[in-house]
Amino acid sequence: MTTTATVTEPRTAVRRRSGVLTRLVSTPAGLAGTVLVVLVLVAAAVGPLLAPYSFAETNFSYPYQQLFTQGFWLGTDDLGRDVLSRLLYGLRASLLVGLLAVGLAVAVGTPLGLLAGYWRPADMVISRFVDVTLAFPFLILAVGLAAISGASLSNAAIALGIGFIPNVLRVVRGETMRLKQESFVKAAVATDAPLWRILGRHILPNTLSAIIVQATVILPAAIIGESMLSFLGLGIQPPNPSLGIMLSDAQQYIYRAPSVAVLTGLTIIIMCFAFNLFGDALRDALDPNSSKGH
Amino acid sequence: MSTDEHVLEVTDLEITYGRSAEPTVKGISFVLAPGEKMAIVGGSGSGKSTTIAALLGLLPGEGRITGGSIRYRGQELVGATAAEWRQLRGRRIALVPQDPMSNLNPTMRVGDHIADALRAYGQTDKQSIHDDVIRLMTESGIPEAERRARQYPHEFSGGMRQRILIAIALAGDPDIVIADEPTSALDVTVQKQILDHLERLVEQRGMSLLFVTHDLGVAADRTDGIAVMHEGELVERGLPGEVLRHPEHPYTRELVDASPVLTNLSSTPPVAESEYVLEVKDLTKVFRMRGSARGEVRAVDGISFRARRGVTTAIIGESGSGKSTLASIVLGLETSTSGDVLLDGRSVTDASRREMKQLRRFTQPVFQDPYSSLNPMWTVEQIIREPLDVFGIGDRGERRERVRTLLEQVALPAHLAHAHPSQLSGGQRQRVAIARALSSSPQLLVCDEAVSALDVLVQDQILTLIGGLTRELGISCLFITHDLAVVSELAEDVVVMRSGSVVETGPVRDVITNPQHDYTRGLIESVPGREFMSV
Repeated sequence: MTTTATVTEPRTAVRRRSGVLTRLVSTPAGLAGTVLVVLVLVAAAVGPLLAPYSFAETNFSYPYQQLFTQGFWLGTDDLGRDVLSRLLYGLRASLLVGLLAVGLAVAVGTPLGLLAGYWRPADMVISRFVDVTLAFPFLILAVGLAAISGASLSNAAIALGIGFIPNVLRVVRGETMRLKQESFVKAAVATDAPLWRILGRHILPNTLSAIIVQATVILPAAIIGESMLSFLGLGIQPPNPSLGIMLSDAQQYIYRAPSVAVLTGLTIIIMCFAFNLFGDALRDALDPNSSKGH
Repeated sequence: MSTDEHVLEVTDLEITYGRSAEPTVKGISFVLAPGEKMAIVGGSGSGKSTTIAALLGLLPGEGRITGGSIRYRGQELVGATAAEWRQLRGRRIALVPQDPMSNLNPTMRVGDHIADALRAYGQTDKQSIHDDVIRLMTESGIPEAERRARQYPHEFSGGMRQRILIAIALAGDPDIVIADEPTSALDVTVQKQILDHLERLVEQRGMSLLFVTHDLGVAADRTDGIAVMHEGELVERGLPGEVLRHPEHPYTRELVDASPVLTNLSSTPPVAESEYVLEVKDLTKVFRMRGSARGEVRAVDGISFRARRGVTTAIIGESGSGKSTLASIVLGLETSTSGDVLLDGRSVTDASRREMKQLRRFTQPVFQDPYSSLNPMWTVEQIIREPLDVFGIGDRGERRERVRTLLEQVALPAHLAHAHPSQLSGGQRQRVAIARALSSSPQLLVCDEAVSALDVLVQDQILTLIGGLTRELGISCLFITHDLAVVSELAEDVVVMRSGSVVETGPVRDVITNPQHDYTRGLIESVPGREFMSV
């Protein structure tokens, strides 16, 4: 056997994966973002268990209660419904719409982005589709959908999801165009690997970090979008709570019970802030250049 | 010799990074006399860049000098203040940096770069600055300096940009010029012109030159003395001839042995003349350029040659010669504009989908950059197994067994099968790339600059590996490179390419000893270190 000199310098085993979580919480902003995101997710998951009342339970004897009232720690609204309970349920609904929208955007945007980035003729068609979507305010789309099949949580999620497809698609397309030039993809082509294999096994895994980061950027935007649609009556329908509906209601009695509007607004801000911080930190943590590269 | 006669005196220099206990560079001592030219030679990680950063007072971040002294004409530089360094840098000790592509500001006119340096050295009069810019550019070998000073860096070739960097270094009329691998990014013929010019300028002005390089040949050709650095220490010093002919330190000996040399080659194994593994007929590839005045580039312009079965054929050419485009067409990654490529007698250009699959099993690539040629998300085993999976060769167990055999053949330990590329060194990665290329038992290995990105020692190992494996397995190899010395070590036949055309073909021995074309002759004369290293 022709063996040349023994292979030297075995690199110290720096596994890339295991370091991500450590790096994620290593900065104050990253730590705060991670903790807040976990809190929001937990609140959404176990909210119904924590909520002292049902979201629809009315107490006409106690409308417009102040903060820290016995039994209603965050007060009540115009119908005497417990604000804490409604916030917990509303947060759950808003997050659900956000996640569904992101899921739709990623599910549609990723394969189209891969195709557009890899194959020029497809790019011509897909990029025009993106142009059209961008020229179409998603609000119009939501109104259209609501007119056709009624306003609901799922329709709001669909409208939002379609609106965010271009964001995911462009990121994946760009990454694909870059990765296409890498030698390992060329080697796969020279080995006659089929298209699905090149896209699915070589390119897609290497775009995942970009997709994850993009998803955490879209999520807060989708949550705000949901609030906006529900505020306009195009999303979740009362008496089901959502943060948008609560805001919409609260504006009617903002002078009698300003705390409802303030609390709802704060919840939206905290959720968006949490995912933005988390997304930023995640991007830094996943970036191979920020770690000790080669 | 008294101290005054030395323009630079470095004694026991020790440099440490961060809080680490182990110094990166230690015990470096040397002196530089006025007009002396000295080379510091070492591989990547030897500490040569750290040393010159210290000589310029430019140690990055956490680095600091923890011992020894640097004296410039008797003045101690260790512990000098920022203001003192500003007086020295450029005016006494100047740097010609490495990469001409990234060291010029793309939005600034070329002349302004030099004017900036002059202004920093206190010149204020507009007219005299302008005159000096033109003078420096002319001296650096740039024709029509008046016109070209108004151009932007992208209008300059790599060699021309390097000349600008030299002009900037000379602007302060320094005593010492430190040249940090000034030509490693350039083609050999350009490299020779630039180094000749730099040498002449430094000699005319009586400056001292500290030449930092990884290339023993370049160092030997250009300097009066060589210092070899290894793992942060100076391991050997001496006259170029001595160091290269009688290396004393084991590392230097390794380095000298590993340096590719223009040998006149041993015996070529007898091969049946009629057997050709690859035939290229009138091949042309035209790239359309958007927004370019000329509209198209003829990357490959009607070339024809044949590669014999069972031997290594080298394609040599400088950047822009079309050699990589040729490789892409042979691998089926690009389609040709006209002409034909025959692999084993079968045409690539009009192959059907099924025939193409056969042809692709016939050829496999090894690419230049070991950092981009392996999928970072996969394990070594997955990477090597891929061709087997794609071509459907063997069952699960057989594939695993094949991967084990291949790892053994490329001299990698079996436990690396489960490692990810990020855990491997450059040389190890290139071994994995070779194992992948061999796994489907191809007949023709296409190596596109497969060793150009590697250190001399690793390069030598990989070349030996490729040479050994192709001979042992009876595989033909198309070896694309810009390095004539590498060609002479590995290949039996050579095809010399220049701007899309074939200049000369033949057995390596004939081409090197008796080149027929002026261009080939120029290439051979440009190979550094010939005087010292040819056998």
